[in-house]
Amino acid sequence: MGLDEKKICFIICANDDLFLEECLRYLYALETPEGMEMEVVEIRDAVSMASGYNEGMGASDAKYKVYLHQDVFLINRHFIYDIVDIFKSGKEIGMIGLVGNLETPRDGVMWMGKRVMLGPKQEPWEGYRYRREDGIWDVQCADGLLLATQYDVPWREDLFDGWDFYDVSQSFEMRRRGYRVVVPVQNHEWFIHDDKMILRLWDYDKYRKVFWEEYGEG
Amino acid sequence: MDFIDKLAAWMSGERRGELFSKEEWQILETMEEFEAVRKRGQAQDEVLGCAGDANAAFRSLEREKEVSFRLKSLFFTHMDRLLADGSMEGWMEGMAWCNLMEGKKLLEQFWEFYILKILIGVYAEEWKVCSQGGGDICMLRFCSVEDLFNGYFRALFLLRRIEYGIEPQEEIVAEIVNRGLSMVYIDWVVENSQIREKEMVKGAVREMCGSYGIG
Repeated sequence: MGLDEKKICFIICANDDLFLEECLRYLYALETPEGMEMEVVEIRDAVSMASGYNEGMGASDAKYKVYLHQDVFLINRHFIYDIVDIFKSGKEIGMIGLVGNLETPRDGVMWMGKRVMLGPKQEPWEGYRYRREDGIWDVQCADGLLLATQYDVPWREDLFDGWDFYDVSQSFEMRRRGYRVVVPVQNHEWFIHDDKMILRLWDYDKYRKVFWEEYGEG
Repeated sequence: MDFIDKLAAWMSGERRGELFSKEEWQILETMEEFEAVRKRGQAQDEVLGCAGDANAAFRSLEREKEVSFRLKSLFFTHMDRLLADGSMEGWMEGMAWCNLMEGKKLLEQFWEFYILKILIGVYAEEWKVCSQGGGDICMLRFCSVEDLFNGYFRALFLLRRIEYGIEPQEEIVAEIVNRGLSMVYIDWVVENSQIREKEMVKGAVREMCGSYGIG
């Protein structure tokens, strides 16, 4: 399907109306560039994040797609402007995340690697605007809390049939195709993530092994 | 014998059947089972020389998964029973159970336990204020764990709207009135959540309530 570069689609796998409704409130408060259309696709009853995201991808002809968790609240009102500008700054940029790992940790435990998100000079929220000169990091993998793409690359639901590693996998899939995965240097947080402060690791190890079998040394 | 004394007796090795109800015994026995699983796992890791390595967390999660989910289910079902009649006695017993779980670090991996601890903090603070002659204990109005969590997240989201200028901001006033929430509750949620401009938000809530003649 030909993709519409005047459209951005937010894709959310949802199972909690209280969280989803609040997430949408922040999305609808975003500034939308003139001539650009914003749409939202909610995926219910997804059997895995990857399959849900593939369903969402197929449901929209937007060139720019943002896959985010229902418990992510975008406080950067200029988010759409900022990511479109980053994508336009380089056709080779395939995916933007808001948190990433410069290198994949050898044991595959992502939060134990060096993570990047906040810039060295934090600014107050009022009046904060991301500028190209703030910079971007090239990362090996980005956190699935929010991933924005300008190219449709299928998510590996064949390998990752749960709720872990779909994000690391997608980062590697992008890089396999020669695209860069980047994280903007944020001099103020762009989002709040109410992930309830607890890491849920129940199936992490299973998918960690699948990841290494598929992507080897990365 | 009050509940705290019963728990103390149990911790000293007392195992008389009439000390606790059937449901309470189930929780205590599952706790003991959990601790045994954990201890065996740690001993195994020591023997294999891999205690504390990068994969230790995953090994213990794998070993403890079944019993920890079972304990969680028993614990929160019991919490529902304790909260159901909206009594201070129910809440005091719930606090004791929570402290017991926290001391033994058995439910730390569940977000529900983390939120419950915050809300138990609210109850304790409200009880203190109430016992000094000021205000109701609004926590008594929450009669189930589900209601507690929904109330918490709803309040958190409404408070955060103030911080980031997301409308309608004044919905928090309706929430305070409809649920009978205290300023102790509001302040506690602000202080223990991802809200950065805490004093601004607390001040704004008071101002909004004041303009409606509330509190």
